[in-house]
Amino acid sequence: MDVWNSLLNGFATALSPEYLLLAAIGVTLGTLVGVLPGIGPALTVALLLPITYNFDPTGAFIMFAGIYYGGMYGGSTTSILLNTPGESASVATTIEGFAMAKAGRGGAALATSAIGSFVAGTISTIAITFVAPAVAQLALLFQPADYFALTVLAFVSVTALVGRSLLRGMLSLFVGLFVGLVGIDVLSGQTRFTFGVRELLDGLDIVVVAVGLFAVGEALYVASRMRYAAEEIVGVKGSVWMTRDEWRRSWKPWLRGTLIGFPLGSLPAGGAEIPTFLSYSLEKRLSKHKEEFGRGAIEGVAGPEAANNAAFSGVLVPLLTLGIPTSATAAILLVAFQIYNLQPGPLLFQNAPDLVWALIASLYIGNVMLLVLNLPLVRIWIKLLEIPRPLLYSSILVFATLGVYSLANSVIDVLIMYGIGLVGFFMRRYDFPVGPTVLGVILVPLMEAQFRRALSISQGDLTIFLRRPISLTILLLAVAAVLLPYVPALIARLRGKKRTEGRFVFGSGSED
Amino acid sequence: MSTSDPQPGPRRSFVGPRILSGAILGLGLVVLYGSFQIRQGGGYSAVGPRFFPLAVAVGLLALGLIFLLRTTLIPDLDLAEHAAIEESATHWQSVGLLLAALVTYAFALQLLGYVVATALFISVVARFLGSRSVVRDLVVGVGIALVVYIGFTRFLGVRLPAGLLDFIL
Amino acid sequence: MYRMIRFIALPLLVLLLLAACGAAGEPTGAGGQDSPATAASTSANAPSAAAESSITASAVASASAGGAAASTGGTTTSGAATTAGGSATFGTQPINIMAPAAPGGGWDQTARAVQPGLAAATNQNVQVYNVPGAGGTVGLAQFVNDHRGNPNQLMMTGLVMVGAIQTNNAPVDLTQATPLATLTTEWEAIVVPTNSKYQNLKELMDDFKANPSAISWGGGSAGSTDHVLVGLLAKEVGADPSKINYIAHSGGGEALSAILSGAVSAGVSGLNEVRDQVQAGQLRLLGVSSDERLEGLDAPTVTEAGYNVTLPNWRGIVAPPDISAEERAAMIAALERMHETPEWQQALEKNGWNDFFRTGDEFTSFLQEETTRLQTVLRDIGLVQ
Repeated sequence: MDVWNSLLNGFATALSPEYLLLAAIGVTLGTLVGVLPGIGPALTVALLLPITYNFDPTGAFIMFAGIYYGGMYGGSTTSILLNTPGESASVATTIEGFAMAKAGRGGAALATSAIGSFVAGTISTIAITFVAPAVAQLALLFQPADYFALTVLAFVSVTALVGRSLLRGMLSLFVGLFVGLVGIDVLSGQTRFTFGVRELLDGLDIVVVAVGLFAVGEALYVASRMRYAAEEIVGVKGSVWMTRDEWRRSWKPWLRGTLIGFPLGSLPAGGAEIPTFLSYSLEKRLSKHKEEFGRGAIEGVAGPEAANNAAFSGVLVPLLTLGIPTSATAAILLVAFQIYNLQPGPLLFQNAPDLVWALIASLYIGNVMLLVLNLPLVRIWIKLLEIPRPLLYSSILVFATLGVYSLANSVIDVLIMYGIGLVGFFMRRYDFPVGPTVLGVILVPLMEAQFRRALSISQGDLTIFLRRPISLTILLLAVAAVLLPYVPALIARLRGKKRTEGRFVFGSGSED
Repeated sequence: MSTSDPQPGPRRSFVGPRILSGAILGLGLVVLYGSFQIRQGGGYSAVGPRFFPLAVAVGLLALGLIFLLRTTLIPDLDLAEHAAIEESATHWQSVGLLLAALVTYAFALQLLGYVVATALFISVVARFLGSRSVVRDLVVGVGIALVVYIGFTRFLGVRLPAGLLDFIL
Repeated sequence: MYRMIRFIALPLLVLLLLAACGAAGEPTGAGGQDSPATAASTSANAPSAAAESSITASAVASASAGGAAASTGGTTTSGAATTAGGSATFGTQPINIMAPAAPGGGWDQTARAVQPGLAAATNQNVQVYNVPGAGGTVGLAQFVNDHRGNPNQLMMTGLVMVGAIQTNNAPVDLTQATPLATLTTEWEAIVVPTNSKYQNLKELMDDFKANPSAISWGGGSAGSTDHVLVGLLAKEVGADPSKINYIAHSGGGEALSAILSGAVSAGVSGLNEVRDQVQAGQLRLLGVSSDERLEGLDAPTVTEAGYNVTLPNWRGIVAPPDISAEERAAMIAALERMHETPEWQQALEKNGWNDFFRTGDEFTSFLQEETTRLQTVLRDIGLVQ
């Protein structure tokens, strides 16, 4: 088989000892920088990318792959243990992951995240190898109306994030929607809600929002209670590793996360956030342990982490076959290609097949390397929790500041992040969930732009959303996703009523 | 949470939630006002740049009103209890000090330079947060500041202000 | 105590590894055929040994061109840095180039292409940094306010910034900076998917003229070069520019996928961004905004198709306000030497940029013309009041 041979050749190139060493160094560096709270994978990769220029293209890509996986895993580590995600794709993981850590299951959360990434990486590497061109062709069928439908579907996942009160969840969402609208409107070029602040013209970077809401908000919250509450050191309860039960509960979410992540990631306007939130809401819906969600359900870590990883591989599909970068990391990877005088696009597989296959192989090797290096390290990461709280939180604030400052060398950004942190503090105080806010900030620009584009193209004809089969299908899915949870209750009620007519005794009993 | 609460019991407080609902309604009004400040762009477009902002403003105002009702006429007792627990457990002084430290830090970065500002910030904030080992905090602060500064400027190409230590670093 | 040590040990380990990497990387990089290390690293040191003689010569030229007081500097051959030191602060300090956009964009790539050549031409360390935001206007404001009078600070600029200043109503404009030189141009392309009914530009323009809003154009952000080209075309065929149905996208990739999916009637894009798709038969190239037919490209210019419109997407480099005439002349001289370096010529070829080198006052008057031209178009489109 042709493709198979090419892949094997890629592995043959990537598996030389020298390259393996580069992969190991990349994973280590990526993990160490990514583990700094508030510094996410995209920033890690951007920061470390120049190091890879020292090597030949293959070596550079292998190291890049290592850095990326290391950065992603390092980011998950601090998200889970310290509630400080450095990017929006880790937010879904954080919700259950941090709850698990608080309950003493941080080790299991880290393990399921690493193994989930590995499983997702394996499956999606195979998928890239064999179906990339076909997927790319399918992805091109998506037009603005279809993307709009997709964002509607993603919005449904907010119902899984609202926490204890729908009202407060919706308020959080709307605050996020507002934040997402700040800046120059892409379509008309008009400024919105910038209040004369130059730095707001391009909107608020999602990193500023996520780091502010989580890292700074958490630090302020901890500070507010420190004088009264005794230091709650989260020890490890039971085994550091995953228990048999946790394995049993993880493997399906891994597979489902991969199935959601890869195709959605490979859409030219996809990215990694939407799949993680969709996976979270799906797992919550399917779980047999719904009551554990919000208090540390392992499915809520396993699914989004696998989705996140699979989405990254998916992102490679439009990048390699169409030359379209759809995530921050893909954009950096595109730069890396251009530095070696390669333009990703329809001709890449013809022009530089060796390099492409070596890249695909090295991504896989990076993935394996991550598992090999990091699973044994779980015990050490857990020790992060033993750092004295005052030092830990002051350092978290320092790293959060560093991460945001290095985005654009702007003190204004840093101050905005602190302001958002204060909002996050009050949200925690009054039991407002922060997940919907992040979802709102991510989704509203996409949703608005695609909605308005679709209508401009159809010249104001609203039926475009129903006339396109893809759009219609996704919208129906969204409606189903909203209504489905009520169906059993509805059926029960209908049946119940019939029964009341028939049997009075039972009927009056069940009315109460 | 409740185990460490000094005053357990079904106390309720609506002060915080009411102020909060006021803030949300205020935000709604700001968004509404801001939406009308947006210039309708040129060229053909079926839906202009004001549509979504207006929808968000209306949503915020409507939800804010419902929230106000839930803290007054149709009280949400669950939230009130949560708020009471939080309020009795909050040490406002720490929050205020920490915020002041953060803002000072942001400006000190430029004035004093990264290393000095960061080292001071870590040790001062650790003290606010209840640490009593001044020497340890200072050592850790200087250590982190130096390592980050050197690592990020020399190896990662991030520009961090050198400030006071310009002549050495 | 033990905990504390471990706490510091982690970052230290990062440092060590980074250092090890840098050291290990160097020999490999030098051995590489096209040595990407120098072309791409964020801080390109002036090569010392191999190019010594040429650097010294050029630094001498810089000192005399700068009209420096130290006329004896011309005879000093000991070290380039000391020679250049004759002219005030220029040439003694590292040079910083701001790319007022995110890494990977046109300005960023141009700045990084200038880097090695300029390092060789000035014998100074040249660094590139990014200040992304709002078509470069965020970077421009920072540049003009923070670096007044500092000749060692440079910034990339271009047509996109001229447009963004007007559409964003930016408080700071380019006349406040000191123009040094234009460097490159790129041409714009009008494309349709291969299965589109439009076989040539005329068919498209006829429909456009008949009902402007019925043709949706996919391209970059509102007020971008892509948008401006559509505005110019509308004026040329006599269609009402305020009826243009332009579908703006925030990045090149996003616009490209909209064009490929057939969602929009036609697409406007930088030629280099669609070259591969055209070659692979996914897109049909209807016209190029160049003044004459491009070599190795089987497509007519817009002018050839009968519409008198040319639009180069140019990029240049400026210095902060209030630098002295000597400093300005010295930096222009340095850029002239940079322009001659093989590194720069290679970069032009590699990126598909056209050489467009105009310095000093020629640039200043060009900038004025472009500002007026854009103002008119943007007003017609309705983006500027």
